[in-house]
Amino acid sequence: MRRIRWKKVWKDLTSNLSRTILVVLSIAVGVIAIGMVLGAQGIIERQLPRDFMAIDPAAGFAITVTNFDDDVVDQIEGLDGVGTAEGRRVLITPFETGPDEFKNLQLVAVADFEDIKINKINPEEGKFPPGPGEILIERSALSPNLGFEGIGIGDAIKLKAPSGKERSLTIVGTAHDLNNFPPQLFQTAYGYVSFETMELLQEPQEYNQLFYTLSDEFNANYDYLNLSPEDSSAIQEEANRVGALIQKRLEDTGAIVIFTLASPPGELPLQTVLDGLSTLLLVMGLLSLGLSIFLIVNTLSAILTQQVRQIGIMKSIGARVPQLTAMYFFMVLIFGVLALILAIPLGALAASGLAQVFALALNFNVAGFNLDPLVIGLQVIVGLSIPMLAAIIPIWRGTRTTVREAISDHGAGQGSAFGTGFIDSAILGLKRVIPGMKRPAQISLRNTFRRKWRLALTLTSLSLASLIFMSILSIQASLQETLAESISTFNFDINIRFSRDYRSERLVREALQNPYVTEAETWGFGGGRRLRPDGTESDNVILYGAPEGGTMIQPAMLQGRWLEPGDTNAAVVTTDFLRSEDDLDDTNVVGQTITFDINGKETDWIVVGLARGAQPVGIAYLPSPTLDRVTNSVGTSQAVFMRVDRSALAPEPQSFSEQLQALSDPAGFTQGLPDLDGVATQLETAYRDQGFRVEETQTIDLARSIISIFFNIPIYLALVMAALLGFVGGLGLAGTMSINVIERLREIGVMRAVGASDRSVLGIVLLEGVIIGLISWFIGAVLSYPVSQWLSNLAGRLLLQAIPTYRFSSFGVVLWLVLVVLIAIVSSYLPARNASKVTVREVLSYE
Amino acid sequence: MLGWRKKNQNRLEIAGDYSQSSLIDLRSIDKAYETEAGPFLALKELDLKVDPGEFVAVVGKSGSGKSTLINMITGIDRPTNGEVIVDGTPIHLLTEGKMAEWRGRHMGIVFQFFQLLPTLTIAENIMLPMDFCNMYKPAERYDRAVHLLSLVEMEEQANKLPNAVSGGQQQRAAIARALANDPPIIVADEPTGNLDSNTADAVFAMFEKLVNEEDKTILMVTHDNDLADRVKRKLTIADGEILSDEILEKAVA
Repeated sequence: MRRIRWKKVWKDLTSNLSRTILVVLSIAVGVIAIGMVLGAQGIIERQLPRDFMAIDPAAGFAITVTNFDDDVVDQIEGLDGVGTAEGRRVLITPFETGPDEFKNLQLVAVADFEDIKINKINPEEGKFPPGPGEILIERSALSPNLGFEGIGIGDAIKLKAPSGKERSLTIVGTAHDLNNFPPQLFQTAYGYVSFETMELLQEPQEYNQLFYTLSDEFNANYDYLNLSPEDSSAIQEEANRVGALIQKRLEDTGAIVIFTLASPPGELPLQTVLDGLSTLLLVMGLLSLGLSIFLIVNTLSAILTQQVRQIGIMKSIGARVPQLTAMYFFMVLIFGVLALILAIPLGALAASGLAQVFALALNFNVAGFNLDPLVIGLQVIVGLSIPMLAAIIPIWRGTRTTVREAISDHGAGQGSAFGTGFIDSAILGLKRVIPGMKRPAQISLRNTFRRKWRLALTLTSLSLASLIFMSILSIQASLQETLAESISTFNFDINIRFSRDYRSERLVREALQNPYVTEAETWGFGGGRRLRPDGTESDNVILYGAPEGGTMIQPAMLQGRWLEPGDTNAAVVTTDFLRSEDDLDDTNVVGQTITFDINGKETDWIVVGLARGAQPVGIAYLPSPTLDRVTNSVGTSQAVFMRVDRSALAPEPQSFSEQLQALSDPAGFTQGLPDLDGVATQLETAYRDQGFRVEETQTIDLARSIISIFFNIPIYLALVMAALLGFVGGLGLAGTMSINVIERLREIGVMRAVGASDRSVLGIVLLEGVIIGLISWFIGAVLSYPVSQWLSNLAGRLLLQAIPTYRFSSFGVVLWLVLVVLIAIVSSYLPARNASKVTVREVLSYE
Repeated sequence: MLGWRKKNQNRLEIAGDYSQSSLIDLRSIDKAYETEAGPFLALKELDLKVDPGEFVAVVGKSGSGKSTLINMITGIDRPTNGEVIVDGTPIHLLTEGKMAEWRGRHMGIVFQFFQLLPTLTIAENIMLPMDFCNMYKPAERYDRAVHLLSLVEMEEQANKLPNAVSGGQQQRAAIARALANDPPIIVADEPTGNLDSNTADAVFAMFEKLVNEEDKTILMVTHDNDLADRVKRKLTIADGEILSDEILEKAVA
């Protein structure tokens, strides 16, 4: 480095390492965020869509309560527009996880594992395909929390067949089923068996699920990995048309279809969740980048301010503005390069980690660590250009300072005037409002407002972090409230579904035999489609038949009224139902007559009420007697809802000591009483023992935890991003405080000369940091009310496809208050400590 | 080509008007500052001529206008009225960029607080003006810096950082830096103000040597009347005007 000026730049960088690290980190944070978010998206998008297309996903499916055989499948395959059709048998059955403890296992029977044409299941470990008496478990289901505690390949599991008989199956391997909902997220284990095994369980050799693909015109002729929106909607329309044809054909053969769904082309079952998470992450990544920009502007302005005297000296010995400008841009360029050296590998690592978290949660495969040239290119552009752009104004101002201005800064407090203007007058007036305020505290308060531009930049980044943190907690509170509301619609504790109709009276009588069950009701259940006035059909709508005086399902009413005794063709629909119905909205739906196609029968219903929904599908509540007549199930039912006397159940540990007690002595703590799961198992066993074919048992607690997990994943990710923003805000504050201290060394020396102790100097600087933290908290708290409301609605639309009930989290406001004070203290401590070590001698000779 | 000719014609025109001036020629200089109490006149119709090889001391009380006068001569500040011609160049007409380059080649400045750049070694501080003004070949610059340091008896400290040497040594290094581009004029603002009397004497002796042996012209602002009495010419400033302009016969120089 023959030119001394470049050497000066290099030495400036290396002689003040902590400042260099601060700037490099400030730039790196934003670049890492970009690398993490875009890199993770890249990793996921590079493999997942291909993996998904490789399983030959179905264009749609139908679920029936009755059985159908290969002849029906062949007929369906011959329908116009159908490419391939395949049947499967699905059976939900309990398996023993411990003495008298059961968990549900969803068994999927496949006719020929070697020749699966739709929704292929990939073998992972062990034997494939499974033989008679053997089972493959979905790879992410084979874990303790789904009941496989200490159970692995080679072990046998004991199942309770619907007939009530126990059968043992050997786990021979694991498989990956990309088309099914993630077992961990939905707390459901899946197992794959042959039809011979179904026979062992005394199940019919017939199907109850049908998958179909579209004919080549809408299948092989399209590149599903690169579909245009127009192609996508054309395929979706065709899949809907074919789905309706298939439903009609199934119904013509006597099958009762309860659900059909045409999947959006090329999309995973949880695509909306994945997209929602990606959008949230992208927003957070952009916010981190935004904060990083503020931080860069702030720190570079401060560095240039520090360098003003040196700029003056250099000018006095012949340096010209272009030379100085080049020197400082070179410095910024080095900051950018160092930040990139740090941020590119860290961003790629974080991207890989994030993609793994997504992959684990949503059960798909991703490639490992990867340096994506596109992402790196973007990081390089951002990492170099943003600091350069951010530096333009500070460098322009710094290098144009005249020699006289630059070297005339002799006295204490130069260049940071305080005392003029409205804000300063207000601060000065504070000592009259708070007469007891000590002088050091007054100094801290006034110092805070001396460099207003720098304060504004620091406050912007820290307030943004405050705003986002508090908003996220409010979003979480809103989603939880919405969850509580949607759960409160369901007023039962246990719900048992059966694989065929039974006399309602028998189901209720059997339920009430259990000593813990206080009430039991049966509700009708079915599926239908709305026949719109323009001749088109809606998606599948879930139909609940409400018994007269039934209380187990009580949705929150938004318009009109709930069903009343004597109603015959009245209907209550949910807001989810309105979403796909363009001609209906919350202002006109009540009073409308709508037509449903239920099992091939067209029936008219008058909408008497609109209820809040928070489900992905539309629901209509109809009077049970009328629905039962339409579905030919008068007096019979497939589901029973029960309420339990919770006070009689085993206590739940509340305090920490109770949790310890429950862990160390479970039997003593529960006093031998069952919990809700225990009662559910008792009920299920009792039904099976009486010969009822139980399909699924669900407790309201399980439903709640499934939906909570569903909400909590994005919330936790968002909180991680908020923590990152808090870290960036802290960096900004640390930078501001250290520069404030350097600028005021003379004043600090003067204070020390007139008797300020180490402690007082430390206190003055720390308090200034805390004041900035508190102001940012206040700004964030005020703004978080409207912003979190807007973000809640956005998160609701992305995650629930519905506007959630808004709840402002006061807990978040208090929590952030504590955190921001801690961040302020930690960030200001080093500068404060440096300030407290200043000696009068040093300061007087400081130039 | 046309642009080059026009630019150089301007330079010649400017030089042509002032070529007969003294080395330093201040003509009717006024300098006013805006203060909260109203405009303050720091220099009032001040005239001054300094010829080559002179050693001039400028004395006066605080606020008398000494530093303002020095700032006019170095081009650090500009007059409100009047002309400043140094070495034939009307420096009050130069742009900030041209001024910096001109100053680097024609004038060495020594400050009271030394003003060495803390991150560069003593030798590098001296090489920096050569670098900025593109004077001397890059390979020669270090040797020149060491040579200049030997003039001020600082060659042993060439590779130390400024804060590793004493105040007196820093000031000597600052003098060596002022000589870096071999300027005809050295301007020193309170160069001994921050030094003990022995060190101040040594620095003063160095200035004398520069005038006598290197034919430099030196203007030195000082509070120290004893030092001021040792130079050939002493200007006393009060209230922005030259109170007296004495030629001191007993002076050593």
